[in-house]
Amino acid sequence: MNLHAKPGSVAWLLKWDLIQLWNWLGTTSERRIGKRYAWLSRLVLLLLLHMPALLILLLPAPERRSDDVKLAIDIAMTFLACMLFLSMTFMAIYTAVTALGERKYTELVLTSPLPERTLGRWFIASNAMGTLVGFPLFVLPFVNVLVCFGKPQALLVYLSIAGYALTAASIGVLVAFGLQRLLGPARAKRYVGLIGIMLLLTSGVVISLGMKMLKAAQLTPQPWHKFVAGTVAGEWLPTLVVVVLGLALWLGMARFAARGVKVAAETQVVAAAPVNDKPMRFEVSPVRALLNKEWRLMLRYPMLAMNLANPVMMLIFPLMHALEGKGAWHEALDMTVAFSGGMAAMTAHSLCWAASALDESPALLWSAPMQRERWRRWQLLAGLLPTWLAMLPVLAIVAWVAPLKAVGLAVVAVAAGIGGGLLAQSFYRPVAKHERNMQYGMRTPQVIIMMLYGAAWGGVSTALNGFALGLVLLPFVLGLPAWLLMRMEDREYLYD
Amino acid sequence: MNQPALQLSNLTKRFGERTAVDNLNLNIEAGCFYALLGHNGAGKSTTLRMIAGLTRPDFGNVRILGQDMAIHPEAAKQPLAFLPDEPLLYGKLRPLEYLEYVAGLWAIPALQAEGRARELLEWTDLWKHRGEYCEGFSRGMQQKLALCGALIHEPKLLLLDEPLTGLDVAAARQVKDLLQAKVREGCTVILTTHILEVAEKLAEVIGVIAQGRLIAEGTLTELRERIGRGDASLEDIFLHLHDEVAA
Repeated sequence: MNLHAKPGSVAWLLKWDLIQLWNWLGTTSERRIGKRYAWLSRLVLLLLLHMPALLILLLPAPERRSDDVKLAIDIAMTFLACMLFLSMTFMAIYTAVTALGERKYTELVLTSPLPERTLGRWFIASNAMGTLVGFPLFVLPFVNVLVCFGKPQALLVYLSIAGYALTAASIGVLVAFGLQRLLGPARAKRYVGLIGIMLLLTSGVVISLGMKMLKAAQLTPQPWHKFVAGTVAGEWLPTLVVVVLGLALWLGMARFAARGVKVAAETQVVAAAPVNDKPMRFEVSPVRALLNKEWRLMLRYPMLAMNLANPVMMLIFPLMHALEGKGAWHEALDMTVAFSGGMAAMTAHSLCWAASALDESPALLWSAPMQRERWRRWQLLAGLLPTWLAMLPVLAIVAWVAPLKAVGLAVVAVAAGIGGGLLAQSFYRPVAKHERNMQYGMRTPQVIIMMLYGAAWGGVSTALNGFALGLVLLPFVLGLPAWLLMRMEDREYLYD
Repeated sequence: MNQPALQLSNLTKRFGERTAVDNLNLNIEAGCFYALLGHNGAGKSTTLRMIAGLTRPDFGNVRILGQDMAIHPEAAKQPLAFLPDEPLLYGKLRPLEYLEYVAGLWAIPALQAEGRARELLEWTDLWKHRGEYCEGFSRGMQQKLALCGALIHEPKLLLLDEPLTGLDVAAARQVKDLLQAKVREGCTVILTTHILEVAEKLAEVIGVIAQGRLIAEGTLTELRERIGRGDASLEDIFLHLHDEVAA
């Protein structure tokens, strides 16, 4: 990349952020298909991103009254704008807390002779750029396709997204400083993901319910509501307001952000922890030692521990059913049953993957005097036991309404867990620390495999609702773990 | 007859086109302090990793106190401790939890392990930090804790890859004294280091490795004789040997 900017300016600092981002995005494809053809993979990816937008826009619109369609589009656009902004704010908080906690991004800049204002502006703008990585990718393909469909005003969405990003980053930085002050840098870093996702989910449910109620009541959209929708619909005035707001917050908060970064740099990242004088009893058995270690690590990574809430989240269907006033909650329990098999497989997969990935020093395990198949089995157990425990509340609620279904679901959960766990263990390969992501080194193909396998188990568990067609998937979901067990070759885990 | 602590026969490891370790033969007696020296990329760490059972050799074998690593890996690993250049720690475990885990892996009786853990943490001055997660430790503290982990099961063969990295002067002295004490107790210590003064002071036998091959081995006096300079420092010897290989 060859971008020119005056050294020491905000643009110059952002250029380096961009270069890092570009290198980070490019490394994987370059490694897989070589530097020469990496551009091709990026082009294919870009086209693939546009495909869903193209397909959706090519679908014939249902013939309804034009008022209904307009209302539905307005509501969908408002929902999109709200969720986009919330997601970006969450991402901004996460990025800011991580940057302040890790310090590696800020300390070098802090030791340089840059003016305070530049530092603050860079910190917010860099954060805004971070929020632009993922979320708009789902929105901008629609914009590009709409331009091709003869709607050039859609390009204004690029401006509103930049405005949203600056606003989200300014708010995100403010919240990040607040969290740091409240929880301390280490705790803030540990819990920020959890807090953000909880807030995001709650806001998502509340906004979704609000929109559905609005739609159900056939209410005429209010001016504010039209205004919000206009920011992602390529309208001039709302776009201008969002951009001006973003710029004003960015410029206005620069000094505050710089001071916050300085305060964060002066705070001790890991404060001395009080010693618990309760004598610690060591475990004699290697199994217990290994399980204890895995569970301690799992529980100390909040983003990972959150996987345990996956099965319970399947109760959202009866809850939404009741909240929307569609009838008694238990009428929608079939959906919970249908999704639970898949969720058990995916939860077990994530936890078993993490049990391997959290082994930050596999060399220790490998140099220990025990058979590797034994510790691999215990690591599987370390992921499976919490998964099955997490399934218990769902099973209890299903059993209350339909005991026979609960028995079936219990069998499915046990088998799906084992399958998911084996899938993770079979595909897991250690990755260097710097390559670990929020999914502990799991890459896109593995996420897709996990989701497909989970979906297959979801298909099987729908059979419990009387859809026998789901049983067609049974040979696959049971056959895959059996095959994986057979191909567990004596592989070399570690590379020099 | 005493078993040698370590026997390497025709040990070879290739990574693609590159031969990291080339037909290496070593015979180290029990209770010996052995220093393995070499430039970066000479094959020291790969050799240690093969001895520890982390990397499989392409050819040749490793025998630890008579046990073949390929045939009886568990028995061969039981008396062994390996301290790699990057400390083997878990960021989200506390020191005592980490030592409990290591002791569990080597199946050390709980009471013995608890006492030993306390003793080691007090010795390394980490006892007061036992409530903290390892992720907050400095490099030196991490290195000391990893060393505690390596020592908790009283190994007979200690493999140390750059053990003094990141340690302050006092801690480095402490570690050097401990290693010498271990050797006096009959433990075999094999260490790699770039600090040649350490090897010169501590090691009884010194091996120099270049391009995966052992180019010289012996006591300091023997190595001096080899290059024909009675007053040469280990640094002089090392550079002389490397010049020979390069020529």
